[in-house]
Amino acid sequence: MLEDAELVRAFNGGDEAALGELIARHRDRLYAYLRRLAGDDAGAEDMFQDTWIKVARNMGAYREENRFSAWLFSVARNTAMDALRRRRPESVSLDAAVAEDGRPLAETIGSAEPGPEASYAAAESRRAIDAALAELSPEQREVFLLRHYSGMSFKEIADALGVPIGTVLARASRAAAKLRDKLAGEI
Amino acid sequence: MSCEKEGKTLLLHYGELPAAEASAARAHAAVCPDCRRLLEGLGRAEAMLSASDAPAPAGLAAAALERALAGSQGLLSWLFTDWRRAAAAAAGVMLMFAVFRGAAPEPAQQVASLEIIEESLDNLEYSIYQARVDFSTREIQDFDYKYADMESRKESV
Repeated sequence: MLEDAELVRAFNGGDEAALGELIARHRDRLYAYLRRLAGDDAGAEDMFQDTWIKVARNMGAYREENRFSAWLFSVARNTAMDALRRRRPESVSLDAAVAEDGRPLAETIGSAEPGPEASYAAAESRRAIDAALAELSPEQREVFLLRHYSGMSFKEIADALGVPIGTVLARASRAAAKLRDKLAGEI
Repeated sequence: MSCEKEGKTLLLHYGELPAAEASAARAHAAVCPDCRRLLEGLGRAEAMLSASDAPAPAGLAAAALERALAGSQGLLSWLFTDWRRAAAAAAGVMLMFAVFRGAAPEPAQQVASLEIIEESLDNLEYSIYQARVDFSTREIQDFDYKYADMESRKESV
């Protein structure tokens, strides 16, 4: 199997199928990451497509000394941040959103859209983890999700965010502590 | 109060510690209540994320490939791969033409200018990303975890 960097080289040489292979390889993890950031399927799908458009346009600037997945998730993260900033004012964040019954919106997500194929357990997991993630600060959530989905090292995350690695580790440990408290008894 | 070795425990959990340090960190985590709770929280959250993640919708990869290939060929292609964007672009060009008729450049020139601006923005965005990477690589040698943690606490306060 070709390495990601080899596929990038092939794409830059005119092989369009190489881009398809890259998308297929990173599809599910990238989508899952963006789904967590967007909070809904439509937003995640837009972010997913916009990410690959940016990647394709800038592929010539990708440096092989960096891992492709790290570069990809950095582009995805920036794309998502831009999209979230552009959202209309009434499209409030997961942190502040409240459903009609007064519960935090994050707590209603699982039951509101489990999807026909989703099991009850998966829906419950989603509800619980979304509610717990909503309790994290944006910085803590960003580090935790990037580390989980992208497989980037903490050093790579620090580079992408432009902060010291110690800060990244502190955010991650606080995120873990909060999640442990919020999820106690969920499994 | 959290353990000062939480940073090492995190690195251990994610497999980022060198083998020489891993066994000591593992031994510490086995007896440290704070680090055990940290690992417990991570494990639980990761299990729940994995259990509730849905795969990407069917057709999304193909759609992304089509748009990415069209997008990589220039702004005009990007504009006209979606009827809503195409309609908006056409309306925009017509509006600009109506408002600036006589004084403004031809629509084709306006679109060409947009294309240049779009490309410049892409380049600038990527330059900022690379500058961040270069800067942090050069400046951060071995940042002390505890110091950064204190800084973070100070910010919270």
